Amino acid sequence: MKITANQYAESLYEAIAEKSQKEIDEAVLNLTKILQKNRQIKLAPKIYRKFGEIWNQERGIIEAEITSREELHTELRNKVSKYVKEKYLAKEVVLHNIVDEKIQGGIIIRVGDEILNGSVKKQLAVLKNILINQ
Amino acid sequence: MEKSNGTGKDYIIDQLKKQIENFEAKVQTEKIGTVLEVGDGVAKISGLADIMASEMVEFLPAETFVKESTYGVALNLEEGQIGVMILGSFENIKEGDTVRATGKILSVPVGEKLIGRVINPLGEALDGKGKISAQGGSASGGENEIKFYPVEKIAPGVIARKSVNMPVQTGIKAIDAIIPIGRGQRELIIGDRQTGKTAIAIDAIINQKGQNMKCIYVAIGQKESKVAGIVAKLEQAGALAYTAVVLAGASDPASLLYVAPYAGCAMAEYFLDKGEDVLIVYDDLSKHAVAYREISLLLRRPPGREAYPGDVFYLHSRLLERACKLSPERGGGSITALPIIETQSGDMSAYIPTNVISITDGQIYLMPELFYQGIRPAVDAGLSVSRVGSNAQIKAMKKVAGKMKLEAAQFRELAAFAQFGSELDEDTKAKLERGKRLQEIFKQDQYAPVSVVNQVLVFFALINGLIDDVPVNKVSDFESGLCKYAAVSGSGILKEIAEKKDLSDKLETEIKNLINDYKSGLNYLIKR
Repeated sequence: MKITANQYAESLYEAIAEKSQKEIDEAVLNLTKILQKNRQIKLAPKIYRKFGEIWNQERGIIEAEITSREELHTELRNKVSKYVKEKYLAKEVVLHNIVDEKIQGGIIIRVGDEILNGSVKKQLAVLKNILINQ
Repeated sequence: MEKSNGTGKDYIIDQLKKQIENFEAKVQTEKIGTVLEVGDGVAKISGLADIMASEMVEFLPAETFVKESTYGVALNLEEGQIGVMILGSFENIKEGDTVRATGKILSVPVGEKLIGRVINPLGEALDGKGKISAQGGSASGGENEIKFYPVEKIAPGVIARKSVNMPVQTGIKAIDAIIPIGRGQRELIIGDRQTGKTAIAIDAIINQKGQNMKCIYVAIGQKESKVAGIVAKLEQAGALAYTAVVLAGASDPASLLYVAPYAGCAMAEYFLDKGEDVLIVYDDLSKHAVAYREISLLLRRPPGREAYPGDVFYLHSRLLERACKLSPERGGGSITALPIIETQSGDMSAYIPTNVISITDGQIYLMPELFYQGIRPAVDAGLSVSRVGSNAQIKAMKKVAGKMKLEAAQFRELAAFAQFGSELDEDTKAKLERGKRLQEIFKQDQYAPVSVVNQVLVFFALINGLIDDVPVNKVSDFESGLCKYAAVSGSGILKEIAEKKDLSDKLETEIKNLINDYKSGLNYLIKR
């Protein structure tokens, strides 16, 4: 039976959890050897992504993607970070700021498969719909 | 004048200002997913954790120049991903695209506006007569309100139903006499290609004029040219005034073919809920099963017999079970279903035909041999049955049809025997001769339905031996002549049959006299 990327990532996490740096290096090397033996090297990017997810989940880290018109300044960053932390009960929040002029203003927060769309573009679209329908 | 115009304009602007000032955008959390892979009309999507089965999802196009977003239906809910069937074209969907859950089960617009139209299974117009929801479609209600019905619905239960008690007059003599159909029945039309399956269904639709019946013709995987021909014929016969055509053509993706019969049934249920009678034709369900097989295999569901998935029986049973006759407390409406199945070289015991035969309340079997012999409609009286329809026949028809059935059965038996060419006794000869005339009477042209009263008249003539002295090749002339003569000289009798729906002894003598009067003016009768 073929081993899936998820299974590799889970076992890797179990193998290196609470181990020393040396042991971790060894485990990763072993994983690459196994992948080579099973001819599944091409799964590496998927394993890397899945491993990141497991790592974050186990440690209560949440990655949030913030789309805004301009780069967020520190004060706003902290505010958003605090909001996300409270909403998802996370211990730590990692923010990725994406700059997109097309959204015209406001911010879009994306955490996992949930989106909070507070952009001006979206609100204009909603207003347009309301005006058309009334 | 100018001033009032000015204030009017100001008023509108004020109103708009007010609305915009009061506008308050609520930001809500939306669930989104990402396309993992896409191809052949299905997509795998990650995310969308709390999606419902058969919920509609919206594919948000990455490119801004793509105006219309594509929709899909979630069919497979797996642990880490969902399998989605894409409705419509999937050229604009790419890996990594964002997908939004709509929170709605797949629904189609229903209502009176669909009558006379040709639409696709999603309720979009295909006939160029304008958008179906053009006038409003707003949620505010009013007469322009467009209702949406879910395509999948659980069929009415035991309490809501009533047994079939009213006939569907198909106008086809062979069917109305031997295999009668009742309102709320499911009667399968089965036969090889080119045996006149669609012709029977279309004739039945044409004959519903003035019978208080709405009709829906669902074309599944049919050639668009054939459907265009059918629509033209319906229009010519004035049948489009009470008919809607749902078309998923041969070039449409399998997902639309799969949805088409359910969408048609949802449109029928609108009229059912209003207490009306509906006749729905599914043409044809073998192509529907093939489309479902395609989707299932692409979604990697395990194949079973003939590579159909395990739930192909449920696919058709849940559809046909929605045909029903409701009790008076529920409005008393009905949906009569005429599913069509195409067999391969007469193989009735293939997977899909046996399934649908067992679901329906009977079948009309069309035989290629009869068709080539010129007996059209090529209904095989031996293999065709109707399990519930005879309760729905009017009494007058019941009286004559019972003997017709017997005559037909005896003829079939003797005809096989008489092929050996041995000497036959007088009694057998007489039966064979009458059988030949019965066969002639059952022959009927396409698009020429016969009213129930005329049918009773002709059948009465046959079973009482009044056609025995008409040469076989003159039977059709005799029949049409008799109907014309009765319309002029015996209108009182015809009216009485139509009103009382029964034959009294007195009426029977009157009919006999009428037929003998007509015969006295004929010159081609065999002298005895």
